[in-house]
Amino acid sequence: MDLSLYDKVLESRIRLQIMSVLMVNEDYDFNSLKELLDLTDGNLASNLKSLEKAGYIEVIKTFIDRKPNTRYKGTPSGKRAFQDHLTALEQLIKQGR
Amino acid sequence: MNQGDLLKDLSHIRSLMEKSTKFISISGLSGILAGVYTLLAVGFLAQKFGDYGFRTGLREWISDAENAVGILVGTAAALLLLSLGTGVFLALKKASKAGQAAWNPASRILLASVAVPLLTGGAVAVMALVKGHYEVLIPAVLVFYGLALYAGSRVSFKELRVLGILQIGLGLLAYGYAPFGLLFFTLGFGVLHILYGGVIIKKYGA
Repeated sequence: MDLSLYDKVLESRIRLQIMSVLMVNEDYDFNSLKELLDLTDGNLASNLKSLEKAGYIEVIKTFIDRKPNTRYKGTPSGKRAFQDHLTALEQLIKQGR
Repeated sequence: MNQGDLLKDLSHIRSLMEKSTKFISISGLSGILAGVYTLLAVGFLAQKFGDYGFRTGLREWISDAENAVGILVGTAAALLLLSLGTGVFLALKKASKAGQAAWNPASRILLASVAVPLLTGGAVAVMALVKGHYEVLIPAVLVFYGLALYAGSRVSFKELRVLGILQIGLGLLAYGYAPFGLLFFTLGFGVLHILYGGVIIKKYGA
């Protein structure tokens, strides 16, 4: 079986969920992601960190009313990795049938 | 990882993509209530001025009746505030029940996309009133409201698009058949809202 498309970084359910949100939105801020995925600050931050390290997301730090507002954006390579990973998952499902 | 887990993950991803881009906490009940408020408001106006508004159009009505502009603006403002208030209140309730934040990126985009056509329409309506172009009033309200719904449908229920197009159509008809403006308004804001609310409740529940 060809598992070349399977992505270790996206093996984590949380990271896959984060990428799925960033696929369909221009960008998304930390607090909205936290509420949407129902995660703790620490858990979300560490998963965002590994996505950033893999080059899958871009971090945009801005200020709104002098309060820090951190937004995240999927990079082209991150989006490609997401699509490839989904293809791999599809293949896995087909094979199991 | 087994089959069931994989399938569950994929369907979860699909719902996340939907939930993160669309604000679907708009309550169907608020549509029905807005429609009912409209029917009450039009009934109040009809009682106040007789069948003037339906027969001869706003122009004659406003020039004949005493303090007509004040009553018209007052009723319209009350209708707007009541409908908006009900809509926001029920949306907040629906969102908190679904465990969703009402103030999220999707609702922000929704607000921004409806604000421009709505405020433009409001400005046109005020200018029409000030300049005495009364026949433009109802068509402008319907057309710009329809444009706002159409713009908002991208980040909310797709049914809003149909509602928007129908409102625009009624607005154009209201301009073509100016004397019957109030009738088209009753159809658009009253009847269509009630129908729309019913469809949303039937399709998505609440």
